[in-house]
Amino acid sequence: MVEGQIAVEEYKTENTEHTWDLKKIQSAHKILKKILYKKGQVTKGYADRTLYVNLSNNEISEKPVTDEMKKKFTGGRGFGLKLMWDSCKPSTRWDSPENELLITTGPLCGTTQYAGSGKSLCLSVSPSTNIICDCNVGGFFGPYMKFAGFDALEIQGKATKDVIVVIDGEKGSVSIETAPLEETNTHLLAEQLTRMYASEDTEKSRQKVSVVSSGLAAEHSFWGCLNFSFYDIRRKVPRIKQAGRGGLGTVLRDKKIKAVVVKVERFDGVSNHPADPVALAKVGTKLHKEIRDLDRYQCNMRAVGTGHLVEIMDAYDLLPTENYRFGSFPKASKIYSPKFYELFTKIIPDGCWYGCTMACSKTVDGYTVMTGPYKGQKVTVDGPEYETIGACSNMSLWDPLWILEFNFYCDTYGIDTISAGTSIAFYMEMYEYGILNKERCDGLELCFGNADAALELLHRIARGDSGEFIIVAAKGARRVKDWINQHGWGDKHLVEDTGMESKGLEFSEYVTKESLAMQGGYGLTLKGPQHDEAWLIFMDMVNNAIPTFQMKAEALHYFPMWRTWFGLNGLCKLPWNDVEPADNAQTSEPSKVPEHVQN
Amino acid sequence: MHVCDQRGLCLDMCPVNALTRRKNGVVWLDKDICIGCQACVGFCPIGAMRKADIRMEPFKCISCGACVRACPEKALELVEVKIANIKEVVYYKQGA
Repeated sequence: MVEGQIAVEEYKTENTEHTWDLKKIQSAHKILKKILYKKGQVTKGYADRTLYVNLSNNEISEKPVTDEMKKKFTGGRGFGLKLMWDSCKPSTRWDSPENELLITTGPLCGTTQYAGSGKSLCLSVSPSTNIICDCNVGGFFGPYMKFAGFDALEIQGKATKDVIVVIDGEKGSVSIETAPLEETNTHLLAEQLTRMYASEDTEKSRQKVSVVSSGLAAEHSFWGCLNFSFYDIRRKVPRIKQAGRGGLGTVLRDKKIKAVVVKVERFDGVSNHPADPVALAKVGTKLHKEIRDLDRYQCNMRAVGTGHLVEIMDAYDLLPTENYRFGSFPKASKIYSPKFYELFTKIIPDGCWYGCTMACSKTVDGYTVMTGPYKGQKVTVDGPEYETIGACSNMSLWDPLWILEFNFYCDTYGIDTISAGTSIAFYMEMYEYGILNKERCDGLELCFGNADAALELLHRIARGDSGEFIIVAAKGARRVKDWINQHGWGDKHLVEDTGMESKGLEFSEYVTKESLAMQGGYGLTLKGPQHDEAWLIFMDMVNNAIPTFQMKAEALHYFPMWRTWFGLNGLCKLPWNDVEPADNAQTSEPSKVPEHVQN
Repeated sequence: MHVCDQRGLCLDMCPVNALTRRKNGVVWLDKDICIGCQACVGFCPIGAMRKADIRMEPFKCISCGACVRACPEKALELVEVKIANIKEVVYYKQGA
């Protein structure tokens, strides 16, 4: 096959094609509530109102965004926390009806000129921790929602039947509709809804729809993730990015929401109406040029995405292997980025929002599924990213194809690869010690490297299997620790120390015992051990940029504050420090990438 | 900075299919589809895709030949080339 310059119409993925009677599926919808709203214009990045939906009483209303709110909270997770503060009580738990699921945008979100400007922020009380958790995620939903007229979407209450929430920026309407016939698993549901709500039967129309969904496993597990779709006109499938951590997909399904759909009428490079579009385009073009010239010598994101980290982490003893027992493994070279590079589709603009030339969202097209309900079908697998590969090395899976299988099912079942991988790695170590065994694991032989058993666990969770282990295992490492301790099956301290979780949330995929700064970051973070706020392991262990205790402490103050700023504005952090100006090393503080902080 | 030689490296950069190669070989930007991301501007190796301050969508030479006809000294010429000989794709093999 020619490897480039393929006309969009001629591009083929060889995926299994589905045909559905979409008219019949849509005619089964019952509209529970529909409102019309006045379409507005985004000014300097703000739509100046938020959307409130209550599923218990089918209320839909608008809330204004005041200047004071902008000044105090900026946007993104700031707006999210403010809206949650106003609506939730101290007693609110993840499954309380008053718990909210928020999807917010920031003022810079939706910019097309600067790479990585399409992030949505999602917040809710997490089932894993019962603390507010926020995730940032790519995909088209956030920017489209803003261009349709809302800075944030706030969903409270619970529906009694499966519903979808539709924001139609073309007609200026918001509706809550029952959705009995749609699939629940994301890779099918997102395609159904994208085709159903596209105004015309064209690729261009389908590109103007974005869907947020989860999957069957999110109904039975605390690992639920939100999948944000972005339609790919070349592959002709909606691709997905995940708001993974904290179980927000579990909250979505607990509220009986099958999906949230947004459609935008039209948008262009200045839909955000920035104050100075000329300066914005200049800064953005400068970054494009930097990525063009330097990415191949730095992170190689454009070729392999975040998977480039695997070989670095392995070399520095930081790649979690067999439930964090080792930081490096003889078989690790089997999953280095060149192995995935062979599988990835090349020569397609792979950004999860328009204009992101960092393009880390790699995919494998025409992947043949090996297990479960979709066995034998050919699908597009979004990823794997570093964390997913790390989750698999943690379970001692060293075959790229099994990593793709795990990645595909986690995505479509709506569960987080990190939480699932880290938890299963813990169960595997317990199995290895004899604390768990085949009988206690409902017939699963969960020894390290048993990919079949790991996938079977996912399938059983998705099916809602009633096995005692399956039910507890789906709730993550913390609950399994308690379950093992209740039965008195192993040494309590050993069990507590082996399961890598804090506050109920599983660790993401770095061997933190190697890095004091990263361990500090995981321990101090409010929402549990994730790498959003204090990803310091690279500068600490690889670049050795913060060698003293004082410097590590400084970094634990500066970086969480600075990295939070991205979440307020709807930006991705990758273009800040995953491509660095050529003279960055000569600056006074290279790890802060001063030039990118300035623009 | 050079005039566009229609090598088409930008075709694989466009996320919305605003850039296409026309039947006569010319790489064409549809400004109605363009969402102004400047990826083509940033990645063009010869600086042929350019942007004016007045609007967000960039512009480029489409080999229309107007300048050739207008040049009083006949210093400019339009040259026919085979697309297959000049076609280029975005790098991706480096590093990995």
